[in-house]
Amino acid sequence: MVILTVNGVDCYYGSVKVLENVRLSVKERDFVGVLGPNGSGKTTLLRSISRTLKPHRGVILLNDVDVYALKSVEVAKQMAVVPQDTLIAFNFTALDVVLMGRNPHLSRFQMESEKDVAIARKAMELTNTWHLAERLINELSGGERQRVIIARALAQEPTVLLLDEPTVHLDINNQLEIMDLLKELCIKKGLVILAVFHDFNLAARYCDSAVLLKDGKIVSAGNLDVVLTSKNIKSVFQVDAMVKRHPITDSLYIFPISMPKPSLSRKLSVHLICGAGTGTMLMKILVDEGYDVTAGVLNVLDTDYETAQLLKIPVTSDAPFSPISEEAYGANLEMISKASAVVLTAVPFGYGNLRNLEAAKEALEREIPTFVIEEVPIEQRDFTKGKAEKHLTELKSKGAIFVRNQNELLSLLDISEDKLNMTKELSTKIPGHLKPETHSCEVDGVDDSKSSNF
Amino acid sequence: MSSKRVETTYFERASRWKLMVIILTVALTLIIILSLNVGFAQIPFPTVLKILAKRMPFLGSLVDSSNVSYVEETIIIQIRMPRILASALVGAALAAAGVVYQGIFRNPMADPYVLGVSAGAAVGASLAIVLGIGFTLLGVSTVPILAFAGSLMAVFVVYNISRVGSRVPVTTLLLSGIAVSIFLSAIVTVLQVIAGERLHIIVFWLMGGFSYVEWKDIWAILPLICLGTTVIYFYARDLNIFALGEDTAQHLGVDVEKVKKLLLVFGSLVTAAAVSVSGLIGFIGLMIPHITRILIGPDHRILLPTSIIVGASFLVICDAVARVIVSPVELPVGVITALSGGPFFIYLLRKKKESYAI
Amino acid sequence: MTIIAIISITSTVYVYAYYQGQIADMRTTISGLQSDIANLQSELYKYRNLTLVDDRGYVLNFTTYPNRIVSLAPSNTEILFAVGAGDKVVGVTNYCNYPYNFPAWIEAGNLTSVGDYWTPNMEAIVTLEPDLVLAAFAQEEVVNTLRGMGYKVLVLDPDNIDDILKDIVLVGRATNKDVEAGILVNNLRRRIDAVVSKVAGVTSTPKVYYEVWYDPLWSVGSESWEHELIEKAGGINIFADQSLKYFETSSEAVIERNPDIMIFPLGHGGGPPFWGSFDQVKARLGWNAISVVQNDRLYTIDADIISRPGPRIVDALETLAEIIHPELF
Repeated sequence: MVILTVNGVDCYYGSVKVLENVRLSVKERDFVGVLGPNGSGKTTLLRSISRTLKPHRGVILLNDVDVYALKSVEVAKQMAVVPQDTLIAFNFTALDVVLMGRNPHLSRFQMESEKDVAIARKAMELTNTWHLAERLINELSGGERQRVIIARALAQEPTVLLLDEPTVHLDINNQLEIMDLLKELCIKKGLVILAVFHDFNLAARYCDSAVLLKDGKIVSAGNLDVVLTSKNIKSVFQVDAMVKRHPITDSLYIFPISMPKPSLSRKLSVHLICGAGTGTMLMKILVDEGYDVTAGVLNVLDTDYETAQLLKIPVTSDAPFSPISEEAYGANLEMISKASAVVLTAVPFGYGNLRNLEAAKEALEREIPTFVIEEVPIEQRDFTKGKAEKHLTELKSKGAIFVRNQNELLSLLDISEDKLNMTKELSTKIPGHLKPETHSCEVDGVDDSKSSNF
Repeated sequence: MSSKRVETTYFERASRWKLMVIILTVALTLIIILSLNVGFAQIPFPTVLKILAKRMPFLGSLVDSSNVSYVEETIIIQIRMPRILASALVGAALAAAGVVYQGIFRNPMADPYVLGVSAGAAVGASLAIVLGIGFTLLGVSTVPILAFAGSLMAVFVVYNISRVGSRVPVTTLLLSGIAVSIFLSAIVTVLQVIAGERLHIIVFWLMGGFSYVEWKDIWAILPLICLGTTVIYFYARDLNIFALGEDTAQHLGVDVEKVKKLLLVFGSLVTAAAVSVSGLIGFIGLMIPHITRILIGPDHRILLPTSIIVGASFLVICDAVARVIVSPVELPVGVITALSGGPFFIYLLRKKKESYAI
Repeated sequence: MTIIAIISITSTVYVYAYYQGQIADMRTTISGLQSDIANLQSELYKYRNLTLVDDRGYVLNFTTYPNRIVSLAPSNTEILFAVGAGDKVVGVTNYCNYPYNFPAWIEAGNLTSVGDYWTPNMEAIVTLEPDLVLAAFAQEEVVNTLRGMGYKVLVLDPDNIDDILKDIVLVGRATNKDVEAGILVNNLRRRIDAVVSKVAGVTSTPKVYYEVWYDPLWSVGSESWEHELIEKAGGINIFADQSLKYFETSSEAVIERNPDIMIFPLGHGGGPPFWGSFDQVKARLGWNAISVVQNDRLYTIDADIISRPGPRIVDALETLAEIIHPELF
């Protein structure tokens, strides 16, 4: 049953058009998130629905009655608004403020009755503010005040609740508490909620549907997975973001990623041997820095595999829950041979990916500079009863360059990009692992005779 | 903390309020009767009471008033009584208007004169004085009439300058009020220059006082002030809700523009009525609302009646002081209100500055 | 609905109260008339119907001469005592100081003060039970209120010397001192004529600056009697082109008009003047360049005699004549 309809609404501030042809239809038990960049008209939309800003065109219907044809008292009995700013001019008690929510239901000379106080109390208990009832409103923290205002809105016993960034002052636990409360009211009491959010993930977690605005127009509206797509986010916010479904909460979550810097373009290619998330950040950084990145072997359920897909990094993949196949191993070696450097991250080793260490040794055999990041000591991530540790020690003796963390790695890669002759620099920088003669850098297309700055 | 106590405390509050209003009204009556005893002429208090009783419908026949002289009766009934009632009415009106304006503008510096009422009245009165007062209209002399007309015209101008469609934004109102007041004050100065030897009359009118109030002045302003304060009281809860902001008030069912206009009209009317009789008495409209708010809280349903009674009592006392302190010369009552009220307000602020956030 | 109820209730209250007020007013008038009748009955032999018109055109009818007179201005007090009606005066202002030391009388309790000129005390006046009140300029509120209560009030507000003399005659008529007033006025006229005729043939008419106040500077225009006095004394008011009685001016204007003589009022009752001393006057910015300052033709005059519209205005004329034409007087 449709509760709220916005039909073809245009809104102006003076002569500036801030909303254009907005159409929206909200049903009972809908929890709608209103999203969009600053200035896209989110707050204006709420204001036009709540009768603060009359649209120049179009109509807004509440239970099939034009909102603007009703008296504000009538609308107030059905619709409550929680604003963004909660500055209260006089020092009333919190209970007084919540009781003001009963105003639409009281006639001019009627004082608040026990029933009204009981309703106020219920609302305050739901928002965990009843213990603040006799405190003065301006002595409360921003978050407490926000919750009192929400209680005030609930005391109106509305069927529609409009909220403008309701969680902006709240701690994380209060945020979740309020959102859980709203969701519960939505489901159990059929309350229709229309809320403006800045935080996608909060919206994604609680809303069923959303409206995405840009420059006063609706870009997308409807179910969450239709609205919250990478494409939409990119077009509205000009930001690359990944939209995934969270394994535990089963709600969408979005995380923005930054774009690679187009100006840098390096000639080094780096092959990452990683897994279990240890390579994700490095992949992104290397791509940002302009390196050609490849990776392997990763199983298709691995986080790093997903990242690689997103970043369009060529990956040698394999089936999960089983040791690396011969095929995958071969493909991996091929990738490695094309790379200028190989990086082994601090990935935990089990029997499934043990062969990756052998690939690293192969890389050294082929005289490709191999870096090993030792952020976490091998003892803590060796699940192969010492075999991985043994491989690692072998790598060390064969000349792998051990670095403590990513930053060290990056600075070394940087140097090698400038120099193109890794051996000389590395032998002066790192104590004794490499034999200068046996490791020379072969980088595609770069003049070997390029002089260095060192 | 038992939560049952919160609800009972809440409902007890209503009966506490009623009690407070009753006590304060009784206090005001006592203050009025006691100040009948104050003045240049030394009239013994029993005589005062006899004179009062004579005028009451039932007590009159019970009282032996044979040795009450005509002069004493004239002084009490014709001189002191109208004066005291006028100061009570003016104090009530200014306090009520102050509460209303502070509530609408959500600004602690708002007072009844902020929309140009005082400047308009000054122009009207100065004009009447310069043109030569002397003729009367309906038995009331021209100065109060022109003062009243002047204040209403000033408010009308301020209102129309600030109007945007059917809305009156409060910030614009305040700023226009200031601008119009400054402009009109300049006109008053010009009138003072033209006035020549009548300058003193203008100056004394501006200082404010109740020295020559007659009963017909009371009849002229009584209905306006009673009606105005009553209507204002009807909107006490709306004034509470205004504290949340105009948008929120609208969302809570208050017809903001209509209530604002109504309160502004009646606030200005009672102020104009008060000023036309008393001249410009400052401090009451600004400070009495704050003082009562510090003492009993911001709920307008109790704040309004309390401020009205406190304002009336305070001005009655100040006028009594003004007429005896250097008798037979009279001090302007505005001096007394400021000298006594100012320090008291500062004292209250210091005591309660943490909780009095506005 | 409630609003209609409230409006009707309020209107009813108003109407009732208004008529109560009217009834009360009527009662007062009746009492006043009753006391008049009482007076009549005890003084039948002095019955005489007297009609007086004051300077505002207000008409008063007397059936008997006043016995208790309250003066609301020092000038009125002087006139009353000058025509010989001083014994009937029961109340004066606290500025009255001539021809007797009234402040001492007030202290001794033989006379009552009714306050100052600008805000006379209603209760004090009423307590004295006056049958005549002499008011002056700028006392409209008191006058209206007193008249509203049934008291007989005459307003004396002369604009020039002739009006002052007429006022003396009026007061004489009101107090049964017609003869004395007539004699006084004749004397005053003779003295005025004497001055005027003496300066009639004079060759030079010095330019005169009269200072009413010093900060800011106030002087006199052609509608004031100070101006008339100066002209009659054989001088020219440097601000004769200004019509306003009293107005604010500047050092520039004074310097530019280059007076030959400057006259300053002494304090009230002959006390020290507000403007300090002549040295301070000479020290005023730019004033030491004016010839009159360099020639030291600075004079003082008693403020009371020149600013009060009473018989002593002629004393002021004679003093001015001495200052302006010392060769003749």
